[in-house]
Amino acid sequence: MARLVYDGVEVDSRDGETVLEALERAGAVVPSSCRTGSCQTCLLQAVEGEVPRAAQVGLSPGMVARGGLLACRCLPSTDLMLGPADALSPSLAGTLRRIEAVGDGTVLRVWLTVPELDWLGGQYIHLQRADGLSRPYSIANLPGGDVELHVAIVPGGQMSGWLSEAASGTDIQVRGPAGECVYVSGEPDRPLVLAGLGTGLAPLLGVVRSALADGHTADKHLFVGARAASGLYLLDELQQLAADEDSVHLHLGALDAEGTEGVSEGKLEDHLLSQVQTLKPARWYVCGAAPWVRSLQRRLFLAGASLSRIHADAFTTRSD
Amino acid sequence: MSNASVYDQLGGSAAIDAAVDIFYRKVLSDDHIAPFFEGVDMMSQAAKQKSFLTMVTGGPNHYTGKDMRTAHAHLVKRGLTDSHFDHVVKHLGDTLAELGVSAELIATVASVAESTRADVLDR
Repeated sequence: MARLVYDGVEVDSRDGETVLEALERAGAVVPSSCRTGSCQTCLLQAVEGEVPRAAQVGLSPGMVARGGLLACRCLPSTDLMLGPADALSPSLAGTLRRIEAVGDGTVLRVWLTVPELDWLGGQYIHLQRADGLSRPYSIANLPGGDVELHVAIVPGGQMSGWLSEAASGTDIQVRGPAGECVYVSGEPDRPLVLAGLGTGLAPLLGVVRSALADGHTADKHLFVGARAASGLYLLDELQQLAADEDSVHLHLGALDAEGTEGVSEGKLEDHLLSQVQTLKPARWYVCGAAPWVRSLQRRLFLAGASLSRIHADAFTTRSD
Repeated sequence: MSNASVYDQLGGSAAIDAAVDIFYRKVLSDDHIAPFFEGVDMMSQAAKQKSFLTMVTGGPNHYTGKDMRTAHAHLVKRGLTDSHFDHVVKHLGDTLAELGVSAELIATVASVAESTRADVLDR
């Protein structure tokens, strides 16, 4: 028996009863769906108490470290003081350091200092301006210094417009990190295939850098695309990365290659799908605009990629 | 082993992940039923498929007919009928057959799936 406290409800769990069942019996409202530990809808955070390992299967290392637990899988062994999963993502103080337009000028590379932020390559954060305006952006680098974001400049976009004119030293709030588009450790022999359109490149760089830091040995195929070749950015750095690392293979694509050397003309997904049969056991990462990501995810799956090995980060853009 | 569920015989949660791949691929490749999955988020749908496969194979679940009814009500309005349900049950059986489940046990699983028909079709 363990005493559970959550959202004003206090209840002693019964033998064999999960945290979710006990809280519901006591009248607490806990969002839940599958009740088998896969959907993560019932994610809670233990502020006090020991969380059984079995209640953390499938959670990111960050969530595990902060006491995240799946209420439907948690048979409590000690008393638990519980909170909603929102508590996992407090607002952190950050400072803008450097903002640089890259490529054809439609992407901003933004560095900010957020001393208390820890993250996994490929995750994203929410930038929150003093007036409350908040937008998610993927992180392109690994912890150990300033956070690097790639921000697409959206015509009329409030946050990107503001960032393009913001001064170094401006304070900004950060929430996160979040996202499961991350490197999975323990499979050094499994090829990685990473495809991104536009600033979808940012999380992919995070994943590739995590893989390299982890000693991942198998091939990492990085497919980077844009509408026109002039929209590709960070080309020097990408080519340098591929030159330095034997396992990193760079494939550049654009609908209009504009005669640029090394850039294949056509749809990025066609280049990618032609590889599925040979790379079926790979782990797949797909990042970019939501409609493109959803469609490619589906095509990869139907072509034989396993759902549990397709990671996607679908960006939604707001033009206000 | 005669009392072990199909779920346990397949190998539990990890094996169900593999079954979801096969099952969901069959469902999405079937033009008769695929339109009902247009615009659906694949990952959250896969989590639901996993719950469903766990339930029909006798694994740990929290099935309620009410959830099934609520989840499919908008599809019934769009014309979901017995023939669509029959296709799904067939794909379920074919999936288990590919995984080496005996015909006898597949029949048991199919009868569990069959028990959800009225809820799914909202009648």
